[in-house]
Amino acid sequence: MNLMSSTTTTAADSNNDVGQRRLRILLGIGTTLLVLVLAIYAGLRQGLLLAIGLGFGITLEGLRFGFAGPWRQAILQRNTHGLQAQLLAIGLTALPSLFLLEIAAGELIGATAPVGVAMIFGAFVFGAAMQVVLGCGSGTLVNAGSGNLMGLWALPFFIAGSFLGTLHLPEWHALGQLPPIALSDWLGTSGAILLTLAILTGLGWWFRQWMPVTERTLPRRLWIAALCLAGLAVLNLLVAGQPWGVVYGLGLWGAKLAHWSGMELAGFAFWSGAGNAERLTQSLMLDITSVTDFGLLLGAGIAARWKGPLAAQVSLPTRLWIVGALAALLMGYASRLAYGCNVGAFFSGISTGSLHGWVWFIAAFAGSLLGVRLRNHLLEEKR
Amino acid sequence: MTLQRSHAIGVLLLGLFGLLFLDLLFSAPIDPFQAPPPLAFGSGAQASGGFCATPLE
Repeated sequence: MNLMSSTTTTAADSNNDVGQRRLRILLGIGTTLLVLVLAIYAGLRQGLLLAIGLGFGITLEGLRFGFAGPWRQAILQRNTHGLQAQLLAIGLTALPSLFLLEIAAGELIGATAPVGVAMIFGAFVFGAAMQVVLGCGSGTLVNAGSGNLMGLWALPFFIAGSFLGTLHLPEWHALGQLPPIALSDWLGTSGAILLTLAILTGLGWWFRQWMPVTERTLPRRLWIAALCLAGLAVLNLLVAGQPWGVVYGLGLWGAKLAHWSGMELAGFAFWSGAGNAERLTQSLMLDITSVTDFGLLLGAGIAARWKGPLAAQVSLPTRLWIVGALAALLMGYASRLAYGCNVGAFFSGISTGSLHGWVWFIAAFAGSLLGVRLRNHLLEEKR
Repeated sequence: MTLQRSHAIGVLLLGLFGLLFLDLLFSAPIDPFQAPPPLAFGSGAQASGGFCATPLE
């Protein structure tokens, strides 16, 4: 009987292995075809951008590299591995990016944005909200792409929030802001690289000290993820001419949906600007951030399915749906005020030498300190 | 009730296809012959894509 049962199990395992292998081949072929079709339809640049977006999604989901989760772990458990990996990835991106921005000024631009009242407030709110949703800008896309119910639920609210944020930008900017400050304008490219790497190294060392001596070694998975992300981010800069971003694309999706529903956007300063007005009428397949966002969503789904059959999920309590929706809406809105999320402002801002990236990090981390407590209060204690 | 992650991915794909279908219907058609060079680096053209850090124009 035992022998029969063992034989049946082995046969079932073997069938599953064959099925999984077939699925992987199909996923590989399907993805390659998708990239080729877009390259033929919208140009090689857009095809390459889709491939880069897929790479981001596969790296983030496949190697479990995140932004919101590691901040939460750092705050609650003093586990800073994820945070150190983020700083490592930013440093690895900064070195070639700042150099490239100097030799191809104009063709390539950095994520340089002003520091201001609304920017700091937006980053703080974003940091708090991302801890409630347990997913940041890229995290929401990765979670949605990999079939996480909260991620999927949060995504349309994030889109709505980032669109609504664009409508009120002039009023928020009127609260006051400095001109955009690029470190390379102040210190030259070498100075900007040295200062950026010095601060990242110092911060990394400091966060490393938070952990017990025996647990300080950074897992291999995070080293690989940091290297892959840095490589992809530099490729993104070379192909797109601008750093990796997430929020602009989501806001554009919301704006297009509103526009198609009959809403007149010409009266809003953000959408009446030449570039944004043009992108409202042209295909999403021509928008850089939209294409990498699509790739990120699909890449996360591929990585999740590649690992094996997807686990079932228990339905979430009503309170979680409501809180998640509000937090995602706020997160989208706040990311517009903050000139980006953890990707566009933190990752790309710092790695291309913008002062606002550092200010965003400080404000968003302060917001996360509040957010983790808020989440515990809203969701766990009352359960 | 237990929901499967594969169902969630199905819903997401449906949403994305819906968005792209509307885009195909309402946005200006793409002219593949007007495509920019594969790399912005070395193209000689000013970077002009929409980005999170883009200020109001």
